[in-house]
Amino acid sequence: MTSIVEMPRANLEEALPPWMKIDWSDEVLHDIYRDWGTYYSRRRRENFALHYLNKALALEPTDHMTLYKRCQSKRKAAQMLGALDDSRAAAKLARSKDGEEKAIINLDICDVLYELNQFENSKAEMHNNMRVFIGNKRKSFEQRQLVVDGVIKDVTGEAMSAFFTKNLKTVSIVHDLIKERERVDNRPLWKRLKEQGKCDVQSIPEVPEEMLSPMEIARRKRAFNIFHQSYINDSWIDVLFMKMLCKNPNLLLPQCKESSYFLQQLSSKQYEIVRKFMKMLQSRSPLYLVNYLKYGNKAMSDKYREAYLFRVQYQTHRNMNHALKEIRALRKAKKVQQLAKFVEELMGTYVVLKTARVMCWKFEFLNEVYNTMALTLAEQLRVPKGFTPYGSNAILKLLRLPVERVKDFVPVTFGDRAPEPEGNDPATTRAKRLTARLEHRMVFAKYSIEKCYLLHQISQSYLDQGRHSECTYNARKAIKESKNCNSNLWKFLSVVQIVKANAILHKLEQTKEALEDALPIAHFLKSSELILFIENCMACNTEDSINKRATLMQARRVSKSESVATHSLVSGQDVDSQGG
Amino acid sequence: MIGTSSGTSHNRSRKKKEQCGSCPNRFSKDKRQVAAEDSDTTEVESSTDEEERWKEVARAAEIPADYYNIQKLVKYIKAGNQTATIVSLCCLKDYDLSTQINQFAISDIGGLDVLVNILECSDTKCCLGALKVLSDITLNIDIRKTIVDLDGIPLIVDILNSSMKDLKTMAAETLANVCKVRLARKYVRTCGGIPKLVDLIDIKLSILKTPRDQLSPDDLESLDMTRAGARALFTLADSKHNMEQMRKSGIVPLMAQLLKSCHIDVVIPIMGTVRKCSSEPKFQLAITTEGMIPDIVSHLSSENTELKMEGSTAIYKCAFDGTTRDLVREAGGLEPLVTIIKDKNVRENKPLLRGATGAIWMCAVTDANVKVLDQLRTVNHLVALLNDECDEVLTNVTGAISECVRFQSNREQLRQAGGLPAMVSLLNSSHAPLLENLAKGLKECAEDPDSMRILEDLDAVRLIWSLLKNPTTRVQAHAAYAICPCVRNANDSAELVRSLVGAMELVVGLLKSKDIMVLSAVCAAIATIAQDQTNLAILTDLKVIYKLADLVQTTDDLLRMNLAAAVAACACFGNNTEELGRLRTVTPIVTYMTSDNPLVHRSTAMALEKLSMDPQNCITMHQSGVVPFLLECIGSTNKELQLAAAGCLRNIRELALRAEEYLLKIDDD
Repeated sequence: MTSIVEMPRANLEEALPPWMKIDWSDEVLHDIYRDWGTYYSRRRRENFALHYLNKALALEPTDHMTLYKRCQSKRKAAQMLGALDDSRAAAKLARSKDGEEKAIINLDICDVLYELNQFENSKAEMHNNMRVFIGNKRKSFEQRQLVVDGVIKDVTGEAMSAFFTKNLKTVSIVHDLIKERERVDNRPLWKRLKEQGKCDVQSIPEVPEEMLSPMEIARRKRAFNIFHQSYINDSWIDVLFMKMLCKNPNLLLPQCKESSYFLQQLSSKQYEIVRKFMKMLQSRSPLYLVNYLKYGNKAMSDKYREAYLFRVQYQTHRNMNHALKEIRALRKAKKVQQLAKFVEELMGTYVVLKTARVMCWKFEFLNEVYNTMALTLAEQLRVPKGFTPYGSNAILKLLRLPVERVKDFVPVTFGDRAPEPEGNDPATTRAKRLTARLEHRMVFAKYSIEKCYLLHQISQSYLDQGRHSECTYNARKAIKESKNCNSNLWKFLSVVQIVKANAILHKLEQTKEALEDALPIAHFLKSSELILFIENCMACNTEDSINKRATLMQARRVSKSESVATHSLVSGQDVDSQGG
Repeated sequence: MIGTSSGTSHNRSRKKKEQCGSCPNRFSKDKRQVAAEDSDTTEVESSTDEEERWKEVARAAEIPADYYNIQKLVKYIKAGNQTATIVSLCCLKDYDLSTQINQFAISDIGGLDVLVNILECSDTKCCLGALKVLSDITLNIDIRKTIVDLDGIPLIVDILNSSMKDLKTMAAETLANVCKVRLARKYVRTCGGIPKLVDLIDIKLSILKTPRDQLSPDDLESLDMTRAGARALFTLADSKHNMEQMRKSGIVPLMAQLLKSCHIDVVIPIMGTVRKCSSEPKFQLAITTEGMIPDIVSHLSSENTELKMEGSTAIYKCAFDGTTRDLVREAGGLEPLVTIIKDKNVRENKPLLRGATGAIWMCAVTDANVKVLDQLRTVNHLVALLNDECDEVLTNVTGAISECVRFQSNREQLRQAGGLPAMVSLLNSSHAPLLENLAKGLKECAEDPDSMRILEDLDAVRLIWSLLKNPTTRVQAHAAYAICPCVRNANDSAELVRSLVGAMELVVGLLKSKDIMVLSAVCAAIATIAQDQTNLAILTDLKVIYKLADLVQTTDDLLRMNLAAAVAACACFGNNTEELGRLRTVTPIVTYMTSDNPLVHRSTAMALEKLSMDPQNCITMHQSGVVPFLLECIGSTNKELQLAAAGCLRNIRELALRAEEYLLKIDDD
């Protein structure tokens, strides 16, 4: 991309450079443009160089040396395919014009093929040229051939054998993926979908998003770092920075409509160029070769690896102990919110990345943490001193639900598909983000107790957002999951979530049913506090039911009296009309 | 007293006890075993039932007076003294002893025994007389056998040690007749007669080059002796062991010298000897080394038909070697050969025609010779001979045509001369060598698009395909080779192949053959047929890849080359690549790269490139050590080999690279 802009005609006399004011012939202009292109190419400003070289070729398309220079410039800009086309065209023109091969251009073809990672084709070209040229010209090809031979032998040497031996299954998977990708099926989409047994009604099928596990995300980040460190050492941080720039909202400000697009194009293209060069390096020296050379002694490398893993394991063990201390301290201090946040951060960011190798008691640790969390949540379910089940919203107070946030019941109109209004306040945004995070963790959770915890937290998050149906749905899933891990405590807590959701909505009968389900669990847990809590909730619900029933009766009486009055009024009018 | 009954009995008793110095174990061997050991000769001469009936008819006829007169003379020989014997022998020569009735007159009265016994006496005149008579009567096959049975061969061989030229001459003449019997040839060799006969032909070059009327009597005797020796050696040359003995005795330079002779009667037998010996590789090399080719060529222009026949046949046999073919051309031998075949007067002389056409066929193998033959419009003359009735002549003609049509100009000439219909019509023949040459010729013609159109009109493809059912393996092989250009150049060839009922089954079925050449040709045909996807599908259904997999362990380069080409062609359909890998064909095919043949490298590289489409095959190739071979092939001058090797190596390398990228998954972010 070039920023060359044509000069406005009004300022033609003033703005034109001196050499553009002279009426040069095409030959002279061609030479000028070519020289400017060469100049900018030497200064590694390839956009300008390509611009001028293109103009020169527009004037003289058969100039093979200009084509050669453009090829050089395109190589620097990682435009290898274009460079190859230019070099081949230049060679062809040189043959037709001078009647002989140009060693410098043919050498460029070999170099471009090498940079395109077509080592075999490059080698073949070198051999062909070595049969054409003699002397110093031939020596250049010989030297390059040594390099290419060395690369091929390194790549296909013992390192490849070891790699194939280790990754036999992966090789087959990769091959199948490549074949699937290369397959061209021109049949209508519905026919293809029908053959695959999928829904063939949708004309634009949804592309399922690939869900990556936290471990995989971390692995890819680490692979990115290791990959670039292996080839460009400390400069890997620059590549990472360039990658982040491509998606950096501070750089790509949407309100800056003029510069945002330009900066996006610039950052992505520059990053793409760097990626191409990195691909070249990888092709010449794959990671399996680098690792093979670095860890040539397998016994020694295994020893170092085990030592490293033991160090990581030891540090992880220390971190686990520290985490447990922190959890116990927060529980003792009854800091439920901080504990929940700490557990989420610990389990969702740290523990999820640890394998069983470095975290030897991972399952036990998970149980300890989640059970502690459950106990802490259960300890919140206490009847406060001086509490009476009488009065309005008593159950909400008992459940520690906000009273002022109670919303009116929204009637559902059948057929109305208008979505619920979305909240944009910061709290709602944080809640949504948390929900997304929890759901992502849910996909990759392995242990039932972890799933119970996640489902409970998701339910709580939906409750905080006022999405009560989702809350009850996830709570029921948690109840079902708790059966797998025999966790009655998480089952109780999940039932309480249902109670909370129904209580907020004043669904008295459903609340009663939920409480009736919770009471046996409380008895099973043999916790007098929980039993008392549930009984008080039931009393509050009963009181609310009575009040509601009285209110309904009162309303009915008022309605009946109004109906009688209306009837009398109508009867009186009839008598008057008969008398008149 | 010579020739009396008591003397004869005494001589027989004495003869049984003593042994010839050259063959001490002669009498201890069974004659049948001896006959069985000498099995190298292919000539079988014996009396037939027809001859026996003829003899009876002859006997039943009126016996002429000469019969009785001859018998009287034999009696005189038996009863008379030395002088009487000599006179009687001279009188016998006055009769025409070439007639069978006169020969019977001698044999019926026991004259053969007497004559053989005379050979043992020390009187040279008697011996000479007896040999003269024997040289005449041994034209008869039965008399030859009787002479052998009477142990006459050792006696005659001993006479070769004599210092008298006339005696040696007659002995050689007699041997020339008698040695047409296979057992006699054996006896001559075992008695050490061959070196002696070779010595007979050692004569001064000046005598050979001097006309007979200018020679002195002594030189004439020497010349006659040489001619007799040449005739005897010509007869003995029917045995392979005798040939070798002759070569070791130094006959080659002597033959070369005799070929320079101006005496036709000397050249003819020696040319015949050259013709017979030319079948042996050692003699072929010797003939070339001794510079006989120009002399043989010079006699091709002779007016003597027999000499031309012997000379052309000799060239026919010698021209297996490229050097010899070049020598024939340089000596100007192609022109007289073409002159012979275009002469309509020699159309009935089948041996001459066979020799000339055969010589042209062999000489046409060399490209430079074909150019000379083109200037002589040889193809047109050969086309005229396609109507000949003799299978051997037709075989040579089609062989010559098949060599000439390797060049495009000759294909056009053949087409214009109307040779294609004639060749196609000959496909109905049952003569295997002819069919073989026809297949070769039509294969070359099928390379020409215009000729291919004519062949299609003549339904030649079906006829060629039917040759695959011929029981001769060489015919099968050449037919399979001929299928390749037919399928490649025919209009809508894929449909043509499918239209021939059972064609592909027939081709695939031949993969069970034991003959390497057949297998190689069939693989080449399969490689061509498989270029069409539908036909490839049919071949796959016929389990062609399993049959190909059974052949991969071969060590023959020709089969390796074509087998690899077939694998390359068949691997692209369905999961054939994976299946071939499962059948463990990859590692053997990798070993083909160790061959020294560049053509094997090319087709092998193509096969490996196709097989490398499967990841497991790539791994197997890599483990088999294919990379160094591929690197070497990339530097080849052959473009196809370069591309194939590069493609295979790229697949291997990129497989590992893609797998690594998949494991890293950096680009997916």
